[in-house]
Amino acid sequence: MINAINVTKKFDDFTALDNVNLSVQTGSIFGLVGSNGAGKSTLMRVMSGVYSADGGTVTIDGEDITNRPRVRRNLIYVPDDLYFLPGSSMDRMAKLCESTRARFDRELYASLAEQFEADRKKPIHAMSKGMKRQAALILALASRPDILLIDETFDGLDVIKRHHMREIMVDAVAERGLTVIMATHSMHEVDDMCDAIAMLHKGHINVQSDIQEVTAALVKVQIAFPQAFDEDAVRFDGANIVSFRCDGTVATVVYENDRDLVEHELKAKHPVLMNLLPLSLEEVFIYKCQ
Amino acid sequence: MFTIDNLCGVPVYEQIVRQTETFILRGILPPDAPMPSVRAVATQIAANPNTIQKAYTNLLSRGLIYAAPGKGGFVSAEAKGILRAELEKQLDTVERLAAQFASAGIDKQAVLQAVERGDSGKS
Repeated sequence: MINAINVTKKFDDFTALDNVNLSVQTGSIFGLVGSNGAGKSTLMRVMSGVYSADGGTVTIDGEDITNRPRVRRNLIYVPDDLYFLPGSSMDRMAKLCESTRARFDRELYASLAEQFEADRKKPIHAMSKGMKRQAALILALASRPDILLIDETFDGLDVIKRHHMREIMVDAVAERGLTVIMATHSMHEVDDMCDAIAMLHKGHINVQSDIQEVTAALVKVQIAFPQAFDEDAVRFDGANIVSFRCDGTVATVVYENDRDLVEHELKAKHPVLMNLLPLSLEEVFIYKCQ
Repeated sequence: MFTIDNLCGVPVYEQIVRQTETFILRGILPPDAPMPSVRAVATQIAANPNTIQKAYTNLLSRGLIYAAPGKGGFVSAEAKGILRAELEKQLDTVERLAAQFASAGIDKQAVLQAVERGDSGKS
């Protein structure tokens, strides 16, 4: 289990993270989403120990990671901007991993390289963006981490490789309880892979929960009355209207309320049409981060 | 074993639960048949193992499968009976629908024919 507790990080006057609390269970595939500049990468760097927090702590299984490399020795961070030793090939990087990571598995490395048809001898700087990312992921997975922090996981990978990478990650999660935290812009990816997510917006976490709960938190209703109406017509005691768009006599309203409550209250107003619709993760994100 | 419809909007764990129920009812998964491991299913459909686990927990809590420590999940002997009992509870939905049809003026014969068609469609 990895936790960020009241983490604050500033860069001069700019507060990138403001009292961020995050709790990720072992064996979870956790999605970290947020608008551009929300602080995802900063949070990942604090959680992996690349940056030290200005306030708060990060703990792995209860132990503080600050100044304690041993505690985070089985955590690997694959950043958005990849770094490789200048002029190195995958094999050269594998040698480095072997000497710095206790669990680096040569056989697994060779097997993964083969599965992805990676050129182990080619200088990585000469590879395409997708192939570089593939190289980084192979090296990370071959190191058998307990916790994998990835920034823009599959960026540049083609559909087939993406799928295969997912299979491998999912297998590692199932087999040995690998914990994955993936920062991403792709809601589709999160939808497919994650069991829990947190949404970061301007340095704050504004949603954190398991996937089912997040999409159940908002209710979208298509509603119509015989005459033109405004927002007051669809308001009720305790209603938390996030969005109201009316086109003459039909409106789309989004509530941050319990679904049954919304259904019950709106039925009492005798609309001529009422449909409760599910929201996609993407929609939840858009409404929550406005 | 499981085939997932990625486009239909039904959550993966629910699809797995429903498919398992169907397999049990049709004898594809007979009593004491082993369930595929969470890991095998997760890898096969490239889905989050926690999602699969959620489905299995549902099946376990309803008594449709049992767990042999270290050996995985197996279909329970009473599974078919349990599913039948659960479905029987929904017979009053049929009653309610029939009342709705009647008050809308839909002919009773049409309703009975629909029941016939559904019943004979069973394998």
